[in-house]
Amino acid sequence: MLSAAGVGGALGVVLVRDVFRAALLLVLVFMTVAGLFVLMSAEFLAVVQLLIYVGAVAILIVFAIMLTREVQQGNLPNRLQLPAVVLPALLLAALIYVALDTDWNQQPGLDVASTGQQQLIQERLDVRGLGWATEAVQSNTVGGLPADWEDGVGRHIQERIDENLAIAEEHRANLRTSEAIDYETDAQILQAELIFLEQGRLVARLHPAFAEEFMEATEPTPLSEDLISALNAPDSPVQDVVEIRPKVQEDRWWLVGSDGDLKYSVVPGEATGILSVDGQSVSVENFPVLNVFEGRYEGAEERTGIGDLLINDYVLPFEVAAVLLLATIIGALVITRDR
Amino acid sequence: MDLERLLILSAILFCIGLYGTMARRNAITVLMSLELMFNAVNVAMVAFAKYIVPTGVQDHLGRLLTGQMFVVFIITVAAAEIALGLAIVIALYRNRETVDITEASLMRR
Repeated sequence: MLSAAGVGGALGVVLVRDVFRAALLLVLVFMTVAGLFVLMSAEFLAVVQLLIYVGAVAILIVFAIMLTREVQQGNLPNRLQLPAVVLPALLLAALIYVALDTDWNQQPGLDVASTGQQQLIQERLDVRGLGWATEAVQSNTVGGLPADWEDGVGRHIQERIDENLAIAEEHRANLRTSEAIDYETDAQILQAELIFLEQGRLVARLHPAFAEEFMEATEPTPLSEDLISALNAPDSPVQDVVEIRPKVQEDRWWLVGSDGDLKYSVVPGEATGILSVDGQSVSVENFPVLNVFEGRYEGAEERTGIGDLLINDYVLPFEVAAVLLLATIIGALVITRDR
Repeated sequence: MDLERLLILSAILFCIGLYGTMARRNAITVLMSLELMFNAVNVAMVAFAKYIVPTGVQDHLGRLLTGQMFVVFIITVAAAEIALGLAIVIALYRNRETVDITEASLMRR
C-alpha cells in the first residue's frame, strides 16, 4: 500500500504538468516514506521526516512556486528525453538485479565447516549422543575449526585481542568507561577462545539462532571448578557465583550465588557459548564475563537512543552539520538579497 | 516488508528522481526530483540498518543505529540543499524572469 502510494506519487511529481500539484504529490511521497520509517521501527526518523520535509521543505517549495508564478509554464520536458528515460531504466534494472541476487543473510566471520570437517565434528558428537548438536552441524549452523588451523586462527584471534585492548585503552583514556568495558569484554572472550584453541580442543562458535534454542532448552548449569575460579577471579566484576541459569527471563542469564539467590543478570554477547570437546565429556560453557548488569537493572530495557549517539559518538558530524546549516542560512540570504 | 522489497522501492524512487532531474526544464521540479532521490537513499539506509546486522556488534546497540544516524545527517544536508537551491531559483527569477534551467546559460559561451 505505502509503497504503491509512494511510487505513484513520485511518478506524479515528475510527470504532472502543474508544478503546484507536483509539489503536493511530493508531500504525499514524503509522508509515505515517513510511514515506511515507522514500519521499519525508526520512529524518531519518521517524526524528523514529517517535521523537516513535510513541514519545512514543502512550505519552501510552495513559496518558491508562488513567488515565481508569473513565469511558470508548467512542468515542461527538455530535449534530453531519450537519455533521461534510458539511463534511469538501466540503473533501475541493475539495482533490482543486485538487490535480488545478493544473499543478504550471509554471516561474515562465521566459518561454515567444510564437508570433511562436518563429518569429523559429527562423529565426535555422535559418540556422545548429542542429537541437538549433530543436527546443528548438519544444518551448517556450527562452524568448526580443525586442529591444523590453530596457527593461523590463533594469530588472528591474538590480533583481534590486541586490537580490542588498544581500543579499550583509548576509550578509558577518554573516560568512556562503558565502551571500554565492552571492548575489554570482547578481548576476554577471545582470550578464553584462544585458551581453548591452545588446549587442542574443538572450538565451535554457535550460530545465534542455535544459541537461542540452546538457552531455552538448558537446565541450570553447575559450573566446573575451572570456570568458577575464572569467574570469581579477584579482578572479575562478578563474585561468589556457583551456578548459571540460562533463559530465566527474556534474553538474560542469571548467575546464582552460593546462598542460592540471584546475584547477577547477564546478557550473553556474540560468543554465547563454546562447545568444548575433550577426552571425557562434552559441555557447553559460557564465558566468565559478558556484559554484566547488577541485579537492580534487571528488567529495565537497555536501549541507546539516537540522541545519546548524537552527543557521544557522532559529535563531530553533528557540529559539521550545524556549521553547514549556518552557512546555508547566510548563503541563502546573500543570494536573494536586494541589490 | 522485507529487505529486497524495500531496496527495490528505493531503487524505483531513485530512478524516478533521476529521470525528473534529467528530463525537466523547470528548476523547481528538478529540485523536487532531487528530494525524491534523497528520500530513496534514506529508505535504503534505514532498511539496511534494520535488516543487516554486522556480526560482532550485536552486543553494542549504538552501532546498530549507524544507518539511522546517516539518515539524520542526510536529511540535514537535504534541507540545506533545498534552501540554497530555492534561493538560487528566486535569484534567477529576479534577474532573468525565468525558472527554466535550459535558459540559465549565463556561464555558457
